[in-house]
Formats: sequence, structure tokens, C-alpha cells
Amino acid sequence: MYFYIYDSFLTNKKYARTISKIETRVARLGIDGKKRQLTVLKNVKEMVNDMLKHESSTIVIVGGDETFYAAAIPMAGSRAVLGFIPTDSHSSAAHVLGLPLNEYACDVISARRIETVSFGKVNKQYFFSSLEFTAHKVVLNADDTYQIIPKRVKSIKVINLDLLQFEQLSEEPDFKKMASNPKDEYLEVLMGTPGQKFLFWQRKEKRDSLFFVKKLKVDAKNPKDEVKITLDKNKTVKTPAVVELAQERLKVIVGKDRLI
Amino acid sequence: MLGKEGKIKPEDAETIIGAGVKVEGTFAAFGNVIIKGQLLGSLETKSRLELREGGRIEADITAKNASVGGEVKGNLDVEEKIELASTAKVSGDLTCRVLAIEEGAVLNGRCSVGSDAASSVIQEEREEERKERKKE
Repeated sequence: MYFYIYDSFLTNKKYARTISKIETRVARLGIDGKKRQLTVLKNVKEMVNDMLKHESSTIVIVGGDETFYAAAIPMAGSRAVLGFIPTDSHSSAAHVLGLPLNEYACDVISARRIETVSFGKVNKQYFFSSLEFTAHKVVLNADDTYQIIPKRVKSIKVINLDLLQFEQLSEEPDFKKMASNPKDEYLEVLMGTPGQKFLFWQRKEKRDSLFFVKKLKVDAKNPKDEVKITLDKNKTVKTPAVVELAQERLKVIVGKDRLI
Repeated sequence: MLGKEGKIKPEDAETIIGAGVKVEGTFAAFGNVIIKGQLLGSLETKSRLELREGGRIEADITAKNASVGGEVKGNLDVEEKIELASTAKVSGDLTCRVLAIEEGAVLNGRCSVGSDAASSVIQEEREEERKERKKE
């Protein structure tokens, strides 16, 4: 059974035509199902948990990356399948999973090409895409065998499922073609320095280092300090933290142009 | 490891230790390793090691191939080929099948080069151990 969760921003009138086209396509392909709209009062976690009570459900998120990542978390280890219809042309998840935009993604949902991907875990909290934190106050211990000491690095990103870059406007054009592999037993640790542009708002993050780890301990250099770690751009945890892969997996619908 | 379009499989994924990073401890990789920063401890890779100019390693190194453009303090045990660029500074013993040294490179240490290099070094060590045992 198909369930569709519409992102909260899609209630804006400017998306009415897009939604209409998606719904027409879904009906034509014979994959229509129950529709739910996210609002300030209805969060995605509760909605997904309700849908998981039905057997063999396919939950499709229509909207942005953040909602897609948030929907994945309660689905960890379940038999349900997660689909995504991206409506944002800057969507990293769409790029990684090989999904076209708007109504064209319905064809991919209908084709049901499925990959099983992993979750990351930090201090018992799951993350699906990546986590980020500032580099100058932390010391990292990788796989209990070596220490990574950031010296002239600004940001650190630990990636489960994302492009190997900091933002869409990264200074590394080749990295737009590279994604982490969420099917193996490693997390990618990407470190970046600001690019050398005179105007600070033009200084995009530039790749400095890349490590592959199974387990990463993140501690503040000064034990009195606490460093905030942002998970999937919407939750935060504080150091000390242990980052590793979770045992749970998730089935995700992907396109033929996927990077994973 | 890197994804499909990057065409890099787990066995040849590239670990990059950038100029802004220092690594301390036992570092083992199964893919290529590029070092522009600092590494202290020991380094082992089943693929290629590339130490770029400005990079510094204070460690015993085991690799399949090595290209050195920076500074190394430690022994290099390489299965195939070691290339020392003109900017390389090596203080330690080299063991490899093929050695290429560019003009300007600095090398302080012994070299064991050839197809039997690795095994001959091991044999020498074993003979020394035997002699020590006899003395005891």
C-alpha cells in the first residue's frame, strides 16, 4: 500500500500546479494511495509510525531533503520501503539516489528499483544522511587505532548517504559526481577549509581530507567545552560522542542514474 | 567508500590526509593514500601511497607502491616501486623491487632494490636472530 506525505511548504499556492501534476501522474501509473499533509502540528515521525502499522507499506515523501531524512529514521529496521519525490532542484538526496524532479520521479517510484542502505548512529540517535560540526575544538579518534587532529580545518562532516561535498556550491566540481556508499560498512569523514576568496561570503568550503572509518569518537579538546553536532541538519547532540553505523537497514527506491 | 560514478571501489578508494590535518597512531588503509599533511606512528596500505610536497611522515611504511615528494623519517617497505621526486627528503631504509630517484632528492639510509629485495632483508634479519640465539 502506498502512503504519500506532503512536505509542509507544499501548502504554498505556488506549488499547486506541481502537486496537481504529481497526483495526475501517480494516478495514471496506478500507484496512488493515502495522502497526508505535514503541518506545524503534525510531525513526520508520528505520521510514519502510524503508516508502519500497515503491512508491506511504501511511504513516499513529496518535498525536501530534510523531511525525507526525518521520515527515514522511524523506518530503521522495518520492512517498509521509502520513496522520494523531490520538489527542490538543489536536493542532494535526489542527486545521490538518481531521482528526477517533481512528477518525473513518479516513474521511478513506479519502477520500484530498490536498494538497501544503512543508518548512522551517534550516542544512540540515528542519522540517515550526515552530521556536521566545527573542527577547531575537537579531537577525533578513529577505529580506536589512530587520532585525527584537525589543525587548519574549519568543518567536519561524517557521511552515511550524501554527496562528498559540504554544500551545493562546493569548490570541488568533481565531488558533485561522488557520493558516499551507504551499502558498505564505512562512514566517510570529510574535512573542509574555506576557499581563498577575498569576500567572505564567496568562500565556499573546500575539501581538505577524506577518511573512511567504522567508528569515530568525537571529543572536545578542552573537557569543559561541549561541541554541538548537527544530525541531518535538524537535530543536535553534544560531545563526547561516538559515531558508528547502526545495524538497522532501510529499503529505498532509487533511479537508474543513482550514485550509490 | 566512494559511489558508482566516482568509479572507485573499496579496494582503490582514496584516503586523503590534507594539509590541515595531523594523524597520530596506527593508520591502515586498503586503498590509495594521499598525504599532504602530517602522519606519526605507522602506515600500511595495500595500494599506493602518495606523499605530496609539504607532507611529512614520521612512521615505518608498508605499501604496494610509493611516490614520495615530501619528508619521510622511517623505513619504507614497498612491494613494487618507490619513486622519489626532486622535493623528497627520506631518512630511513628503503626496500622495494624498483627504485626511481629524481635529481635533487635527499636520501639517508640503506636501499635494498630488486626482485629478491624484500625476502633478502627478511633473511638477513633471521640470520642475525639466529646468531644472537647461538651467543645466548
